[in-house]
This record gives sequence, C-alpha cells and structure tokens, in this order.
Amino acid sequence: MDEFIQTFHVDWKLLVAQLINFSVVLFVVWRFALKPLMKTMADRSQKIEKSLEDAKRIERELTGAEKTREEKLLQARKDAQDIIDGAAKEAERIKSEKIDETKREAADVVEKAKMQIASEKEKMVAEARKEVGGLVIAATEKIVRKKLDDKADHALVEEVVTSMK
Amino acid sequence: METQQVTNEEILQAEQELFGGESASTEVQETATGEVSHEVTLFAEPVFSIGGFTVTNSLLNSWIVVAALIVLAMVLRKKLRTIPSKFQGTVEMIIDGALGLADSVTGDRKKTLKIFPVVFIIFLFILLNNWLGMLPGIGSIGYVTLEEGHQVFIPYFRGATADFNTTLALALLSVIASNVFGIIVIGGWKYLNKFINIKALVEVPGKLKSNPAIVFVNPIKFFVGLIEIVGEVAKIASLSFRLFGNIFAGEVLLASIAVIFAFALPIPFLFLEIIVGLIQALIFAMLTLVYFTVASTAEEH
Repeated sequence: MDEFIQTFHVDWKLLVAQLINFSVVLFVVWRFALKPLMKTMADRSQKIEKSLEDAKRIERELTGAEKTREEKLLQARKDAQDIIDGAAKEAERIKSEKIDETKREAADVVEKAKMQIASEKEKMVAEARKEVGGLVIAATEKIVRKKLDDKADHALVEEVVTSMK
Repeated sequence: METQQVTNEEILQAEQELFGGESASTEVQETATGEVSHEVTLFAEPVFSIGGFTVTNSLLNSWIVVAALIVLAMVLRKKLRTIPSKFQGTVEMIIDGALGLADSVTGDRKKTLKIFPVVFIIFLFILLNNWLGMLPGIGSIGYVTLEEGHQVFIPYFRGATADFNTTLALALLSVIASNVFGIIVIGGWKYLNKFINIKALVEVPGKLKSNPAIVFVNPIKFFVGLIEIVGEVAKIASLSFRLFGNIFAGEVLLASIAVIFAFALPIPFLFLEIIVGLIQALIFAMLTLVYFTVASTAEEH
C-alpha cells in the first residue's frame, strides 16, 4: 500500500483539494447555471404546450363561430326571402283590391250617371209633357176657342199626351 | 543504426558513472547542464507550496477548469432568457441530449432529474480537465530543477485527470454519493440489507416449512451481499484507474510521438486524444449514473 501511495503520490491534502474543487464547481454550476436553465426550459416547454392548446381551442371556437355565422346568414337570407315574398303577395293583393275598388267605383259612377241621366230625362220628359200639355191646352184653346169644362179638358189633354208618346 | 545504439549505451554508461555515487553531486551541475530529463512522470509534480500545502501542477490545472466553469456558469446565468440566444440554445441542446441519454439509463424522468445535475457536472468537469491537459503549453512550459542529482524539467501545468489524486477524489465522490443517494431514496434499513443481508438470515426459520430450499438460498444471498461491499471498492478502483490510465497514457503517447517527429505527426493523435477525453468523461459520468440508479433501486424478490 505504501508503495502504491509512493508510486502515484497519493496525498490526502491534494485529494481533499480536488474534492473541494469539484464541490465548488458542482455548487456554482448547479446553483447558478443548471438549475435556472432547466427551470427556464421546463417553463418554456410548459408555455409552448399551453400555447398549442390555446391555439387548438381558438381554432375550434373559430370554426364554431364560422358555423353559427353561416347559419345566421342562411336564416337571414331565408327571412329576407320570406319578407320579400310576403311583400310581393301583399302588393299583388292590394293591387287587385285597388283595381276591384276602382272598377266598382267606376261602375258606381256609371250607374249614378245613368240614374241621373234617367231621372233627368224623366224630369225633362215630365216637364216637357207638362209644357206640351200646357201648349196643347193653349193650342187647343186657341183652336177650339171655347173652353170645355175642366173634366173634358183634362181628358182631352190626357188623350193628346198619350197619343204624343 | 548500430553506431547510434552504441553511442546511446555509452551515454547511459557515462550517466551511471556520473550520477551513481553521492560524492558525484558536485559534478552533476557541471555535466548535466546540457542534458535535462524530460520524462513524463506517473505523478503530478509539486510546483510550489503555501504553508506546508504543496500545490502540484495538476492542481493548478484543475483550478483553471474551476475558474472557467464558474465564468461559463455566470455568463449563462446573465444571458438566461425565455427565448434562447445562440449560446443558451447550444447549451440547452446539449442538456436535452444528455437528459435523453440519462433517461435511457434510469427509465424515469423524475429520477433522472434528481441525479442529472451531479452526473452532468461530473461530465463537464472531467471533460474540461481532459481537454485542458492537451492544450499547447500545458506540459511543455515549466522550469528545470535539480532532483536527486538529475536535472529535471517540471511543467507548470499538467492535465488534472492525469493525476491519480483527482481521479480518486472523483471516484470516491461518485461512489459515496451514490450510496448516500441510495440510503435517502430506499431507506437505511433496506439499503443496509443490500450489503449485510440480515433480513435474508432472519426469515429462514419462518419460511422453512413452506420452502425448504431457503436454507441454501438465503445464505447465498447473504454472501452475495458481502461481495457487493467488495464491489463498491472495486467501483472506486475501476473508475479512478480507468480515467487516470487513459488520460495519462494519452499524454505519454503525445509526448512520445512528439519526440519521434514534432511537426504534423502528432495531429492525428491529438484528434484521437480529443475523442478519448470525451469518451472517458462520458464513461465516467454514465457509470456514475448507473451506480446512482442501481443504488436507488430497491431489491425485488
């Protein structure tokens, strides 16, 4: 053993010195470099994982939103079409109604006009008849120069008038 | 060729005559000025001493490594960012690879993270020491001194891992730390039973009826435990001598090649030594990792 120690110059002081050397390195490198570095690495990988997850979630939400948007759009389009259709129908209905009314009014006006014309005509005829009766009486008076009694007179007038018709 | 041999022998003879007797010490200084012994010694030479503590050239080298590693650690600490710089990225890549490698040994990331710092820093320390021993100027810059009648060249620096003190210190640390780790992880009583298997002896009478073979099996187990103690000592020896032997041999090789022809010829051997330095550091670290893993694994039946 002594020979061994002699050959390799094993010295416990040097041994301890080298142990201290290594311990210093171990402490410094671990405490100031390796530990924070590995913490940074772990944090980063965690962050990346979270980001990826978030990205996936956002994409999923985006797809959902796109879908609802499309659905809403479709619905709106349908609604709009419905409204347009309804409006067209309403317009058609109103139009035909108006036409009907107008027709009716026109017919009314025509009817009224006809009636007025008829009544006017009747009135005119009655007036004319009256006037003609008077004229006839006067004429007959003039012609006959004598006045028949009222009864005969009227009968005669009546006769004349009816014959004039 | 023959003449050269003759001259060599003549020189040897002359040297023996010159340095043989103690009385010749006065002559030494006169004659030996031209001939300086340049051999690579098996041990690290003392360079100076501070109050009874001899500082060897290999200790100086390992101080350089300590300083370099501290500076590196501080630089890394200063530059630590979430978005890594080039330097940090490189370090992270190395650590990631090392973690993967360590995982393949321990088989468990949690356990790896516990052992990893020690093993990785052992790797760094040994690697830098191995490589630093090959830098030009280390082993070649020194002073000449008189020793036992010879004029001896003493280099100021010597690769720290080419000194048995360093490798023994590291091996001791590795094996002792692995045992401490084992005790912490699996408990003192269980760990003691790995070496002095009292449990195996105690359970013999109880299980004798159900399993008669236990009479033969458990004493064997007990002796296997005793052999494990020898194994621990062997671990220290193999770790320290492997590293020391490889690195020291490398230095001797480089010195020998340089003696044959100093230009260009040593270059391939330098590359070889770079690889050897890396591999030896890796082996030491991996074995330490294995010791830690084995120590922290509870024995299963």
